[in-house]
Amino acid sequence: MLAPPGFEFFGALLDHAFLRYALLAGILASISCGVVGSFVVIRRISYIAGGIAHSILAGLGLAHYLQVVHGVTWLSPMAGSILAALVSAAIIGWVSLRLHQREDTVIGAVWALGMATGIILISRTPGYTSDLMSYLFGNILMIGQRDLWLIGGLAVFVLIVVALFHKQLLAVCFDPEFATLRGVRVQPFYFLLLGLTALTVVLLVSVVGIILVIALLTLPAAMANLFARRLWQMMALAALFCAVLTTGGLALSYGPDLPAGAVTILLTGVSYFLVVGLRRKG
Amino acid sequence: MKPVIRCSKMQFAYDRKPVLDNVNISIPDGDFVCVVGPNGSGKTTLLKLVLGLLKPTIGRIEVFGDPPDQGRRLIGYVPQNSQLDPLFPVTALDVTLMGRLGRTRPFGAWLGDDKQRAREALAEVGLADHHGQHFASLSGGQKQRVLIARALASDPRMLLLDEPTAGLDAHIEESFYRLLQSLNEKLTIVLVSHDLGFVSGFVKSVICVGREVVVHPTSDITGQVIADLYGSDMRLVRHDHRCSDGGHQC
Repeated sequence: MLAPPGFEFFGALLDHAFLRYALLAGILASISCGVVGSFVVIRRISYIAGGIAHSILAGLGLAHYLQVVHGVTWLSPMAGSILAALVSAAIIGWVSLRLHQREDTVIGAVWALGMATGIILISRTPGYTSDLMSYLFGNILMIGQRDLWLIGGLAVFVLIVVALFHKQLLAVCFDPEFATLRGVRVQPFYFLLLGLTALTVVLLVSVVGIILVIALLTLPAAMANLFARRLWQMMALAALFCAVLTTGGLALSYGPDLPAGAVTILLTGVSYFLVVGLRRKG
Repeated sequence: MKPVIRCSKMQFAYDRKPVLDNVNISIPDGDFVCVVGPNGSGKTTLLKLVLGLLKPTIGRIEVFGDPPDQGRRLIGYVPQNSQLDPLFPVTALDVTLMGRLGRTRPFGAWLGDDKQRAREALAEVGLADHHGQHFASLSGGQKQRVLIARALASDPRMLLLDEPTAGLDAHIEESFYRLLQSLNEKLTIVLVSHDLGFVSGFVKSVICVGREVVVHPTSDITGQVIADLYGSDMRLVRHDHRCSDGGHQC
């Protein structure tokens, strides 16, 4: 008898802890993905998220290099990613707001600079370089218990910050000029939004990798936008879509041994175009 | 009574080229003023100076007796709705609630008071039944009214509207001005428009922005004034005029 696709995965889930970690990581990351991804879509900063994602390679490369060459253990790859993401978000925000440079040019610079730094650091690190592939395209099956705690902690942090400041964040995204006149300090809230984006990108990089992260951050939110009348509905729906897509990607890739990140993104992209196409007709 | 807005000997220049020069205006409390002038005349610059988004190069501007960045708390600003993202996931009530920023606690959810005030504001503009409707699904005229409700929710003493009738049908325009007229019973109203013809029946005074800024009571607006301002003669529809006391101060 032919088993349905993904069937093997749910059977194996009982036997292997790493599969349970991967599943849980995808679901936890989906919460921040839905919440922050919605802001990224409505504020139209997906290109910034792309820049931040690629610059993470510098942080991963640095952690890898320090660990292998200098025996430094305190900078885990996840901590290195957080560091690189926050630094590049700050650079993008600061250069475009304060130095009045074109934002897309600054993003391009940070994007490529981050990748170049990462590649040099990785090339100076002796040993097996297959890690590079898992950084770029994700390896959700490598997630350990410690990473899981970090992912959960970051997800909770993002939720708390958004719950505290959602009024201001919404107003700043909808009409920054009006928000300014109502006494909201627009620039700090913009930086806060970039910071939250950076943290969420780090979470999602551990699920689908640097290159594919932008699709997972924005497409579930873009689909949710078609059905939601209010921001919280968009966030909840986007989180649900994201959780279903990461779980689906994991399940479908397990049996035929395909890369989970790529399958997740393929599923996400196809769903997006299907939903947009059907909504247009309907 | 202190004037709502007062400019004295104000100049504003971009890169040393003055856009506005020697502006002396005083708008009294309770006035209904239309700021007119052709495109590129400096209307938007004047608006931004009033809102404290630009600073005068020379001279002073006061809003409710304070510098604009303080006095603007009492201004209910209504921008052009074409600048807003039409796909944004907000309801009419969500948009109106944004007017409560600065009047409510900084953290967490909206308070019951905020929601009540926002519903009242929507009722004032005739949209009480539309509070749960998606902002994107409203008509152009309804969106404009929601933006007015948002301004009213902040309990302002003055409404400042930027080209409020751009893109509206003529019959909607008329009911829109009637709404402003009823709001004028408790608020000062300043609206910026490039089109004077229709407005003149409702407003008490007109501020013409050209190289210089001149205040007229509406009765003084003649074909000659308009020809001076716009460079060619235009047809003027006569309405019943009311003159503001502060009309001809400069």
